[in-house]
Amino acid sequence: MMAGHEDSQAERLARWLIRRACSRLPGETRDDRYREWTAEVRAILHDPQVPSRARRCLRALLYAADQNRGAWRLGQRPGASLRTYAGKFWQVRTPSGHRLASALFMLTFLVGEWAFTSDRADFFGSAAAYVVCWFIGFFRRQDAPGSPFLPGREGTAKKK
Amino acid sequence: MKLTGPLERVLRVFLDDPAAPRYGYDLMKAARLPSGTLYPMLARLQDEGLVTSRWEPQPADGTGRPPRRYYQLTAEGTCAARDELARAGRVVGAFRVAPGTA
Repeated sequence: MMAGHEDSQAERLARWLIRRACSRLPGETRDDRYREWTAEVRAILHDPQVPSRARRCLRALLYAADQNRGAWRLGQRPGASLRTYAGKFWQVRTPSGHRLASALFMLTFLVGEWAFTSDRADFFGSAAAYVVCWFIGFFRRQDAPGSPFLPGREGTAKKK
Repeated sequence: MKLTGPLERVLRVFLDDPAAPRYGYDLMKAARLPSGTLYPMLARLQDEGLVTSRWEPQPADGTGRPPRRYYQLTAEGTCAARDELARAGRVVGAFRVAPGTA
C-alpha cells in the first residue's frame, strides 16, 4: 500500500516535470512527447530489473527532470524554434490581467524616464532595454504557442 | 550525420539487432544515456529518415500500462549506421597504429 502511494507520488511529480518540459515544445509535437515520456515513467517505476523501489523512483524523477533539457534541445532543432515562436507571437494565450499589468508597469517606467531624462539617446536606449526585457519575460512565462492547453491537463479534466 | 560519442552508442545498440524495435527507456539503459540527450538525438535521426517510430498497440497485459513509442532503424539508417561506425573504427584504428609505426 505504502509502496504504491510512494510510486504514485513519484509518478505525479514526474508527470508534472514532464508537463513543464513539454510546455516548451511546439503544439504539434507536444502531446505526442507527453504521451511518450509519461508512458516511459510508468515503465521506469515498474522496471523489474531494478529491485530497489527508491532507485526506481529516483530514476523516474531524473528521467523526467532531464526532459527539460531534452525539450529545450528539441526546440532548437531547425524549424522547431521558428514554429514555436516566430510568427505566432499574437497567438500566445496570456491572461489579460498579466498583460495589462506588465504593459502599464513598462509604460510608467518609460514615462518617468521621458520626464526626467534630458538625454533622448539615453531614453531610447532604456526604452529598448525595457521592451527587450518585457519580451523575454513574456516568453519565459508563457507556454509555447500552438496548443490551447498544457499536455495532460485535458486528461485530468476528463477524469474529474 | 555527425558521429558523436553518444550517437555512436545509440547506433551500436540499434545495430545489435536492427530488426528489433526499441523504446526510449530501453535505449537509455543500453546506451547509458540520459533522457535529455537521447530523445533529441532520436528526433534528429528521425528527421534524417534513419530511424522510424511507431506506437505499440494498447498493451493487453492487464497492468493498465500506457502504450510506448518504439524506435527502429530504417534500411537506410542501418546502412548509414554501419558505414559511420566502420569509418569511425578505421579512424580509431589509424590512430592506434600510428604511434607504433612512427
